[in-house]
Amino acid sequence: MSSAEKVHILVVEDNPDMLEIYTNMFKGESRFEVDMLSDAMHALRRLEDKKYDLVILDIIMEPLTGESFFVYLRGNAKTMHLPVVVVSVLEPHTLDALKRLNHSTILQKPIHKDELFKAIDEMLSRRTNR
Amino acid sequence: MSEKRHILIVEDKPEDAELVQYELKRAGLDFEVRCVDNKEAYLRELDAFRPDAVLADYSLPDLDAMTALDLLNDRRPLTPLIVVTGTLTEETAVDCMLRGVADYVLKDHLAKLGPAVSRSLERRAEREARKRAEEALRESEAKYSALIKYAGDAILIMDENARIVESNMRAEVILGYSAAELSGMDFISRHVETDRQKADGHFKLVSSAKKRAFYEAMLTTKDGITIPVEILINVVEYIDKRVVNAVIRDVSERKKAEVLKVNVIRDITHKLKTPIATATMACDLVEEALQKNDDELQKSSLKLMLGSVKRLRSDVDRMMDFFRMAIERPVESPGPTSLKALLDRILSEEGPLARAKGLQLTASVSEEADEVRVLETDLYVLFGNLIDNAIKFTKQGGVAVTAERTDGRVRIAVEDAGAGIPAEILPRVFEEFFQANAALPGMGLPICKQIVDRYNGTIAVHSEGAGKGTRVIVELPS
Repeated sequence: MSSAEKVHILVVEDNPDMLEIYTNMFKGESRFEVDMLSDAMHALRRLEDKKYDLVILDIIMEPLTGESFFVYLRGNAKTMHLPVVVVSVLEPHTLDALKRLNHSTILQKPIHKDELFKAIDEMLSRRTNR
Repeated sequence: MSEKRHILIVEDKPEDAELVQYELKRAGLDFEVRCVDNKEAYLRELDAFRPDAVLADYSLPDLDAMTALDLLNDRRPLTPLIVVTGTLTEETAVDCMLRGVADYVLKDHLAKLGPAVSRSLERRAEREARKRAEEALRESEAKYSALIKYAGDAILIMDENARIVESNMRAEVILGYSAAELSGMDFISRHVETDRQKADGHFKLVSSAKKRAFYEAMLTTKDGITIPVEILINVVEYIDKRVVNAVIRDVSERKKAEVLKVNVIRDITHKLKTPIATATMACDLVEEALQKNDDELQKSSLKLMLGSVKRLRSDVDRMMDFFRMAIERPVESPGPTSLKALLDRILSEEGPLARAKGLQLTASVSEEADEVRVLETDLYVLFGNLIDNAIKFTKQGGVAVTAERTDGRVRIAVEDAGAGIPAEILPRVFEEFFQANAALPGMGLPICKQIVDRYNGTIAVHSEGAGKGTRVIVELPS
């Protein structure tokens, strides 16, 4: 599988343990090419330069929160329709404001690998069907 | 009454005084009598004998009955004076009665004296009883009006159309209007628009069915601020008419505390959920590693689990520190602790974290600033938190701790080149559970503030703004 055919995912998560968990989860999953950033501000800049197919987003982060990141994302024409999987410890109902932003799904930590991959596949198939 | 009545006779003819006493005895009165025939003796006996009634001849050489009456009214008001005289014109009689003489008896009709005295004494007893009742009423009215005036809750008295008739001081404070402004104001319209229908319903039910109602609402003050209140309304009888009484309690503080409690619980829950979530996910990875016989994954996921559980433990410890601080008494004159040794210990613990981020971590303590009168455990929690925060929020550069002695105290600065703090939230950093990101419990600074306060020290946070680093200055007794 060449890099062009792979699914490019950007993980935005500031918890080192979570980053390691993602690393392990994606290990051996050759259809994905995953970049990880622990600062949402850097992630926004990265999205300017590189095209991704999907973002996995944490919410409780410093200094820029996942919520603000998401709002910036949707305000930019380039990333307006970029699928986002929110993975946060917060109860999904407290993230109602995010649900109104299109092309997103919300998972609550802890998540199982299967659950995450299912959400990713769903988001991607929705995108291609559009 | 079993006690003998004291009767003072003002008479200069002893034989007349005898006759008077005879008549009183005949009338069956149980009495003790004293006779005086001049003003000086009269005044003395008014105080010493304390008569229940005075029988006065109309005109004595130096004391006429009217003067005797005035003196009596001055000293022993309500005590009856009966004029006993040989002659009395009708005109004088009327004058006597007008001026407050209880009765008059002519000496040639002394048979009437006994009943006249009895009647006067009875009337006096009635008048005294009435006076006592009036005094009691006045006292209780004063007591209740003070109670209402100074009540901790606002009290409004309204007519049947919800127009305010009277208000107490607390009502002026809560609503921001003076009593004069409140008078005539429509109570329903003080409610915020969305509460008016409810308030009107309660009011009509109360005033028509004489029921009582209790409800929560938001009221608008004169300044346009809305405040949460609890309102109890009922119908009371008030000076011959029925009015509606409202007792209003300002519950802003309670509501604030409720919100804080909810936030604290939510923040603690989230703080604990994060390491629990990563530990759980690491468990899943261990399971997967076992299935796949992947030694490397097994090792790394076990390490992850340990790390998460450790973090969970340190978060719980910090919370315990915080709650311990909230209930413990200040320490009385603790012995000196070496600041340098303590900072070295913290630096060696935090070193790996700082190195991992490529940060320089330094501490410099001048010799005369080494001793501080703070318990070592408190110092450890205080600077552990400050340095930990500084490292966490700094991406590059370094964290520097410096300590020097100024004005008999030790002044310690913890400076970083990190995220900084926006000006608008700077004043709130010491609030419990407040942090730039509200979902993340910021117990570090509130704990620090509690510790510093316990030793009468000071702590201040300076930042030029977001992205411009943070400087925390602590002053402690040395």
